[in-house]
Amino acid sequence: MDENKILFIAGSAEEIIEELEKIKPENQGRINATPENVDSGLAKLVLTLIELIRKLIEKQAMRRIEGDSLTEEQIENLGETLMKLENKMEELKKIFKLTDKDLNLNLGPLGDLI
Amino acid sequence: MSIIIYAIAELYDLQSNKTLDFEAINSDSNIELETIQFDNLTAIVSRQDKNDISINKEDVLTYSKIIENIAQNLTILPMRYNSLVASDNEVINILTKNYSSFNDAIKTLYNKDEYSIRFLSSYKNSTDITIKEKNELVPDILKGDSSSKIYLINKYMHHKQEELHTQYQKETQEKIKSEVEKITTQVIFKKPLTEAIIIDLVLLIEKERKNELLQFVSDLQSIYPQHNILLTGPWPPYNFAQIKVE
Repeated sequence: MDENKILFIAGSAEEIIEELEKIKPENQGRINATPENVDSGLAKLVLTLIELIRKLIEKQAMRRIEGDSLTEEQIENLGETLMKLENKMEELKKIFKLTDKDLNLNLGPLGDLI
Repeated sequence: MSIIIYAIAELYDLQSNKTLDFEAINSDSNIELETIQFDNLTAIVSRQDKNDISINKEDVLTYSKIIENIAQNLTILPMRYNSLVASDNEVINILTKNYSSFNDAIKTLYNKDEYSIRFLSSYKNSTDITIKEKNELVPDILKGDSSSKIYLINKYMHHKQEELHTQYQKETQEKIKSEVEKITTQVIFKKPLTEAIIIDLVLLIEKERKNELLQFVSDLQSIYPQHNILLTGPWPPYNFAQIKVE
């Protein structure tokens, strides 16, 4: 950003710069599929969608815990399932050399997918 | 051959403007700007040999810089990058078809600038869950030392932390909204794009009230010392000139 556009700034300039860097278009998640990288581009898209669904399942689970509607056995099963799901995702990320940051999509004015 | 449209302005405003220096903009950008008129509306354009527009960072920045330079001196409706037409007639056609909406929008924006205010906060300081609170928050069903329960407790705490953050963000937004509306009703709250940005808003205010805005932001900072406030601008009224071009 042009420095003379900053009219008022308080606190740490570093913190502000760091945050503004995050929202620069080139630092936001996009699927950049080209003929050369179509495999990894597709893997990124598919894993992003799986991650979204996994997080939704996790949210739903937290709601059920809050709702106090689960038995002791169900809680044990739920914990194990979510743990395995997360571990599986970690494995897949390693295989396709993706990080958490990669598994997101910038939806423009709507913000990030996850 | 094609024509790139940068902005729409009011002809009288353009003709009576003594500060807008097209030649300076042309020499800065290496682009020859010209105008195409219809009635009281004028389109600020440039011509190029190609029939398409390249999508690269440098050209996008040049385009936005041109709009910014014009907007410093003139009330304009900035056009989207890639506003490309084939002939002068097409430009006139756009001005004719959108005559009323362009005029209405220019009236709303007349002599006003857009500014951006962002509140940054180490929100974790405000919403961090203490160990004591953690023990109180954990539902009885999760208490235990199996690996499943320990895993779920961590997930649950993360979930609570997110909830607290969202709640804190909403409450702060409500308070700021009532403060900002004291100086202008033309405010748009945008979805904060990072966790540390608590408030991300744009507002439209008369050019001559810039100092008032500065004082307002300085006062806001005293009211909310826990946030770092960033005021930027003036910007072309991108967020307030969103009209559908027919």
